[in-house]
Amino acid sequence: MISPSIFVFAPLASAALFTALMVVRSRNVIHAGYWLLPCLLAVAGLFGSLEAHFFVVVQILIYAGAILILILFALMLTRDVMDPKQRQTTKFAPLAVPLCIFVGLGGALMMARAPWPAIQAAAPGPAEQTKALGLGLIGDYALPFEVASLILLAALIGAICLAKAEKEPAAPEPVIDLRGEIELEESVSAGAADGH
Amino acid sequence: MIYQFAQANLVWLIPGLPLLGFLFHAFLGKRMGKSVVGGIATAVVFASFAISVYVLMGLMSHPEELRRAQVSLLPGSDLTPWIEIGAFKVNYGALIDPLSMLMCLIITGVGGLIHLYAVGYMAQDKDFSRFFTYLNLFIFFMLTLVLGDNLLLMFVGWEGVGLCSYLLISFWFEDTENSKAGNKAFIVNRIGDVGFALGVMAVFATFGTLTYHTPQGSGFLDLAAKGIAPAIATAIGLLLFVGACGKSAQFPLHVWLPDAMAGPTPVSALIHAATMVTAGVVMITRVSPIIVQSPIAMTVIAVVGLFTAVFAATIALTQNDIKKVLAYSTVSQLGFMFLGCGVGAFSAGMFHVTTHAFFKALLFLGAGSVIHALSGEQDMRKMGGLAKRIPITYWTMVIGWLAICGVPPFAGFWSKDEILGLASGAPSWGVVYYVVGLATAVMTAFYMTRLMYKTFWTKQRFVEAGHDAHGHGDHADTEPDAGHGHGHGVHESPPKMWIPLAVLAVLSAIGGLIGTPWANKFEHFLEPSIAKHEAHHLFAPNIGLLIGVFAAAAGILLGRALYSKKMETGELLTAEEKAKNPLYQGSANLWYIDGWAYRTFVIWGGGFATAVWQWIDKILIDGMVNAVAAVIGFTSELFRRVQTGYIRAYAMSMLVGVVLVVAGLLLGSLGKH
Amino acid sequence: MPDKSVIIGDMQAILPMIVLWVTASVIALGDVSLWKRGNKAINPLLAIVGVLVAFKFLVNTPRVASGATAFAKSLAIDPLGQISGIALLVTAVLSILLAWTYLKNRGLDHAEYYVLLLLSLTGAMMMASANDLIVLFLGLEILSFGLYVMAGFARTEERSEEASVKYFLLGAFGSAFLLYGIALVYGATQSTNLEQIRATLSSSSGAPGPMLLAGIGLLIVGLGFKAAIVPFHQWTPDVYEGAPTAATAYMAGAAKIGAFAAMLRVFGALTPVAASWLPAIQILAIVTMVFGNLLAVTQTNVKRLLAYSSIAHAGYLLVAIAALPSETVNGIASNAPDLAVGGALFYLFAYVFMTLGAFGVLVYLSSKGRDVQHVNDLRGLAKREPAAAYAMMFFMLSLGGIPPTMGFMGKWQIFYAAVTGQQIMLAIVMALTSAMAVYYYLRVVWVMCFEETTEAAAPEPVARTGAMAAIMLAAAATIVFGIAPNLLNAITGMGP
Repeated sequence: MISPSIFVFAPLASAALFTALMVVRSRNVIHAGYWLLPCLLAVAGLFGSLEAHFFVVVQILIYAGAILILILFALMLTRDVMDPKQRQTTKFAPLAVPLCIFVGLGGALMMARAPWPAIQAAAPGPAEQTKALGLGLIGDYALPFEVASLILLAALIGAICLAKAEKEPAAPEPVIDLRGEIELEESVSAGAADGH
Repeated sequence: MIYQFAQANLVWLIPGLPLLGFLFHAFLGKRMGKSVVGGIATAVVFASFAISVYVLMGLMSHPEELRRAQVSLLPGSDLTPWIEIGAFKVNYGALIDPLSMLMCLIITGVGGLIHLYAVGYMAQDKDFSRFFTYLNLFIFFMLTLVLGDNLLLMFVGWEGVGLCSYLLISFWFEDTENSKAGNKAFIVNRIGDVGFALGVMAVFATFGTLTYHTPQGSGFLDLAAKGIAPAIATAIGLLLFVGACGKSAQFPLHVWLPDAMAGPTPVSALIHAATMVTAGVVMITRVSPIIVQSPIAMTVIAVVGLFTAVFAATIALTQNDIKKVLAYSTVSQLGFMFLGCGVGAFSAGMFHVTTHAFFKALLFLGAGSVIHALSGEQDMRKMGGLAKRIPITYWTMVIGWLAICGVPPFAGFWSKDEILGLASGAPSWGVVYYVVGLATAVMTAFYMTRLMYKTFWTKQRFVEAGHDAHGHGDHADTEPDAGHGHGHGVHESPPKMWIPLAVLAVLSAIGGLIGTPWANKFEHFLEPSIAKHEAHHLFAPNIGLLIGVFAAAAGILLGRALYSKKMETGELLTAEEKAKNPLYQGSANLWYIDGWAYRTFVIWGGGFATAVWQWIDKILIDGMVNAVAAVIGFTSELFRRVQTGYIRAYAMSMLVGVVLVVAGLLLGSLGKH
Repeated sequence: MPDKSVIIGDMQAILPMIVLWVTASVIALGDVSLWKRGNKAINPLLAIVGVLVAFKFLVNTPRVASGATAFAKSLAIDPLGQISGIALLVTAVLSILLAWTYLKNRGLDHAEYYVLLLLSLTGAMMMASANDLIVLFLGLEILSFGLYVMAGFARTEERSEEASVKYFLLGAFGSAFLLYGIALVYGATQSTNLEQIRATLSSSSGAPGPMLLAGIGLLIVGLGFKAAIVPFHQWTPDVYEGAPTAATAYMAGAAKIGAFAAMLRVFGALTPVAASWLPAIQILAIVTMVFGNLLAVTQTNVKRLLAYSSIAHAGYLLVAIAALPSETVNGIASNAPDLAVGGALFYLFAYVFMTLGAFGVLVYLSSKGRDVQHVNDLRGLAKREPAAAYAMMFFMLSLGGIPPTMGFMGKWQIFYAAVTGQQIMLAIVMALTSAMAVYYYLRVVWVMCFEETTEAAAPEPVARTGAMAAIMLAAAATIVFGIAPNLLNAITGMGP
């Protein structure tokens, strides 16, 4: 009893999984950023197959459009990370991989068995969906909707605060400096290698 | 049962005045002269004493069954709720009954005398006002402890006196040993406090209240008197007894008390002899209606008390520091008090608290006077021959010595006899209690006689001229009169110091007469405060008294036999003289026996006692304390390694935590269904 | 259209938050235009005024009752929100006073600090009053964003920067779990509204499904991260140590209050399925109490020591959470939930006063040349700065739970709730670990009182009035509310 929707779902889902794996596996962090694009698009496709039209648009516009670009910018502004010789994996992989598989499989099993009481009989059309969403944002969810702007305000001021130049002469600094972290990691892995 | 009376309206002043004194010293003390500070500090305590007497008179004017009142500790108000959370309510109130008033009298009376003494003793100290700030605060907390009408208020006082004790032990903080002793005292006490806190919780969980008595009969002691399950009584009794062991230095939590003697001598007298260390006995007596319902708890208290009494007495036999002898003696006497509580002779235990407060405070202050006379010397091997040099100190010490040895009619005789007599009649093990207790009494008499010989009667062993005034354990600032003291060597203390000695000597001499077995006014007086418990004597009181006299005499005479010979032999029985003078051959034989006795009792026994002290006290118990500290330190260090500083390591451990929590929740629900 | 009175009621409910937000905006705009070169003292002053006005509106909020809500039930107008709001405003006043001194002495005197503080305070208050998981999440994010930047405020210092990045990355990680938990709970109950969730859970029979359980687990993790519960605590010492001391003080107070107010709400709503999550909370409480105290023992940096102490205190507060579901004991209705809420709130107040006071002493001693945070920096303080040293002694005794201080009263109240709620085991662990804690608190006292200072005198701080005021306020509160706990209940309207 195979539903025809599996023919849409299966390629999209495997594309999402494969590209996500590539994001994690890429040795070059910029490449990882690039791999994120098809991954996000595949998820948008999944939304589409669920008839959540609004989310398809939002996913493409915000994630694939805005956020991904931001990530790439941030990566390019960060020193050393661009260097293809930098190691981009951690020594925790032997522990992390089984844990992630365990969490993933456990989650999948749980989802499969859940009764999903929130599922409605049938999804409304695109126009109604968007309308309901809009009404929700100025009705029941007015407070969260408005409060979200405060987050943006706080983030904005915080970013300015971190980025603006000191009056005193100080070394120009990147927005987020990960050097220390990576250098430490380098030295630790080097030390570990020496030990063996 | 509960009666409100006019004089009780003044009760708030009893702790209130020392508190005012504390605030005065804390904020203005540094700007005032020493005479003002010392005067106010002493005056507030004596004023509290006067008010205590006045309130007690009011209480005694009522018939016995009405001698209990619950009044506010805030001026001019009805009982004020202190904490009110839902159904739980405790008052900032006082319970006025014979037990609390007795303790008030001891604390403010003996405390006042010690304050007066301290004015002289600490006169040259640069931190004079700080000392009296702490001392007044101590009196306030101690009064809160005994006066409070609920266990929580007692706990506040309990912790407060512990804090003051810590501050006062470490008072001369230039000396690292002292602050270490202070730290040790505080930490060991916390072990006891956990027991107390859990006991308080158990009381609350059982009765739903922490108030002792209420006019409606809804206090937990009122409820307990109606009968509770022995298992619950045992649990509460043992937990509270752990707390009592911490504060009252019972084995194995006694380790802090001898070290605590590092503080100034008035502190040793006030806190570590007369008042604070008896708080455990007071607490056990206060909750006696619960204790008597648990034979197990009673037995544990009696056995621990008895063991501590013997154990500490054997250690006291060999100590050379005069304050250490008195410290172990205090531990031993506290053991006697708990023995009394454990056999149901609560009033006898409290009687011993009272007489002990008199004579032990006297002995400590006397020892302080000796130390003061010798400009800070505490080692008895470097004393001797002081009887004529400081006569007032000497004669008052003699009275203290007779009192602690149990020589009639001095105070200690009556109270010790009362405890031993009632212990002999305990339903199980009575004879053992009696015999061991009696042996301890003999030892007590012996080591105190030894102390007297070494300090006063033997030949002078200290070097007067050129004696380093700042020798062992000395603090230049203890010296009350710098010009006088350094130049002239040994000297009697000023009147501020010997007047308290004299008053305490009088009390030690006659104070016990209120509790003779023929007319025990003391027991009768305390009756309204404590649980009725059948306690018997094994034999007629008069025979018991006689045996007691013999025990005291045995100890003293043994000491005399050994030390008087030793005094002589020190001069005469060198090898040449023995050979030259045949007249001494008979004596030599006697000496040989004495020597054998000396070897047996002193060398062997001393070796044993030293071993007990060395091995059990220093290695076993200290070792255990250190081991616990080491284990904690090691574990802490181990986990500090996990704190690597790497974000990914933290993220990883978070992820592990997530998996554990979620998997735990899921598996837990599987297990249930 | 909702009618006018509803709108007015809604607005009144968020008026204190609006005031804070407006004050933040005024400071931000004023600093760049109006008083550009003028006296920088106006920023902290304005911030304090804003907090006080917010306080006034908060205590005067009409129709505070349990169950009262605003904004389509997404915000609760109840005593829990109001009292934890008061605690947050108290935290804010103290930390603004501390920041005033600290930033000036360390040359970090920028208006943005106060703007971020007020904004994150708004978020924390939102979190404490949230009746909806989405509002709760947003509140938590606003709170956190401010904290991330405040932690990195001393940008020229590597440690501060590192603290900021660490806190941000791990905070994002924690938030992701919280968000996923909210999604799963929504999936299982069809609602993000706490009231609705509780109604759904109590009407449904049978065992809770795996999705709900996983959701609850992730909520525990997400909130546990903010509250610094073992094993989600590891960021705490590093961030506490690296962040500017004034920011650490604020972080310690605000994040803890926000997280525990939210926990009280969330786990209150989850009471009907308490059987499934209570064991987890009990185990986490024990682990947190034991490890928090154990790890504090070897610390020689006062800020790290206070970080582990804050972890230990989170453990004590978890004991209150564990007493929360005991609505009936042996079949008889019990007031344990009320006691747990009351006890936790009292404890939070105590925690704020003693912890901010202790950090305040560090702030008070720091100058441009030296950032005081090592235990040895406190050597001989009793002689150099008796007022600060004695205040510190009270804070340490209070943190150790010794009467007559507020810390003891707080512990007692949680004890009491735990005993009433039949959580005897937790109460016993609490008593034992508190006894252990005295050891390391006492060491600070010892170093201050009984050791001599060895270092050369540090350069004198420029200004220290603000810090002294904060220390004295905190010390007075620690003592006064320790002696008369009912007074706090009377002031805040706390207690049944």
